[in-house]
Amino acid sequence: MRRQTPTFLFLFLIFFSATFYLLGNAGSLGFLEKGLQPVQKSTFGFFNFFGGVGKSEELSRLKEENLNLSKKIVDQKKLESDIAAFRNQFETETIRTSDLLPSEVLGIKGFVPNITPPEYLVIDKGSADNVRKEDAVVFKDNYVGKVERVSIFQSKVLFPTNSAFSTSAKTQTGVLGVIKGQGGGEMILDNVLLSEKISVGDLVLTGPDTDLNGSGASPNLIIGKIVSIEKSELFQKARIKSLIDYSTLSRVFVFRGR
Amino acid sequence: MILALVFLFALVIEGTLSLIPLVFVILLNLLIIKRDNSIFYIAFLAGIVLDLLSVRPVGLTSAYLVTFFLAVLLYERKFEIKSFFFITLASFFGSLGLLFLTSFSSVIILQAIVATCISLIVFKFYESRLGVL
Repeated sequence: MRRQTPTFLFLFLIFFSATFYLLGNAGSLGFLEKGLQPVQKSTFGFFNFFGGVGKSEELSRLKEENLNLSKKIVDQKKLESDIAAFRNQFETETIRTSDLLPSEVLGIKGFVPNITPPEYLVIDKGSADNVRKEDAVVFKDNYVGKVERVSIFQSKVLFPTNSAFSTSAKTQTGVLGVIKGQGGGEMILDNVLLSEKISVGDLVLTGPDTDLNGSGASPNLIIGKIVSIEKSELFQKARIKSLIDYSTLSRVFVFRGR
Repeated sequence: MILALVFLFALVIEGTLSLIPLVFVILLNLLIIKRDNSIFYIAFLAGIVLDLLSVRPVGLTSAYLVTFFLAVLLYERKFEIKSFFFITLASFFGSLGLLFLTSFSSVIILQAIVATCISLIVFKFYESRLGVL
């Protein structure tokens, strides 16, 4: 004998799903987020630890050195341009510590954890900490991504390699373009005029990307380095490689320069 | 007991680290094998937890899972659903729909294929353990 299809149960649960949706939008589910955060932290910490077992200390040290050297190149270029243009103090941009909100990473999601490149991360700061959509997330002087969705105590941050990501950018020589995520750990600097000169090895930095509310990236954060260049009839585009390994991040900073 | 642990493990992994819809494929197999209404409650709660962990609109995954599982039971009235053919189709298209709604990944078809493979492994496991076929 066949059972009855649970239509009433279905309607009951759909009603509750809609209720949860409305409560979530109204910001009334913060206590559930808080309650689940320890589970997320423990799981992420556990897998992050085992994910890092195969990576040698020497490699980590070299990556760290590489980051510091890249920062020095950017600082030097910036200093040169500052001197050349006699910029006044208000026009020089650096990240002030007071603009940064330290956040712990609760999860980094990818196709296969620790094997395929990650797509986005979740941090433990949300609208309760004044985090807003489109805010930039940084690590040292490196751009990690932008906030895509905010809840009360958590935020979702898209990496620049995510296919839903795009932002304005410039090279260290000041050539403007648009960074577009391609998915699978790839990103490109697109819409660069053919008349502009870009070279393999050039660093790519965030451009002016602040909206009217003040959300967005501070200029001159390092997005990555050009590894190859393609030219078409109108524009040229470059493939970019990030200098940081997104999968090893455990603490990042939300830039709140407003 | 083992099943409950596997389910909880899948829930935490999907909520924190992976974009593969593990919870969906485990629940789909449970529904097809056990045909128990309690799966709907579990799907609802698991959806809420997944949405909270992944910073998605809360209730979206629950509504999708409950609706898809109802559709599976409606299909059961006319056709045999306890078969590899049905599991393959339901896992692939169900995963694809869920990923389309919730994921930011550019490789959702590949993810749906992997989810289908996992689903077939789970079904094969049930078949050998419980002799469901």
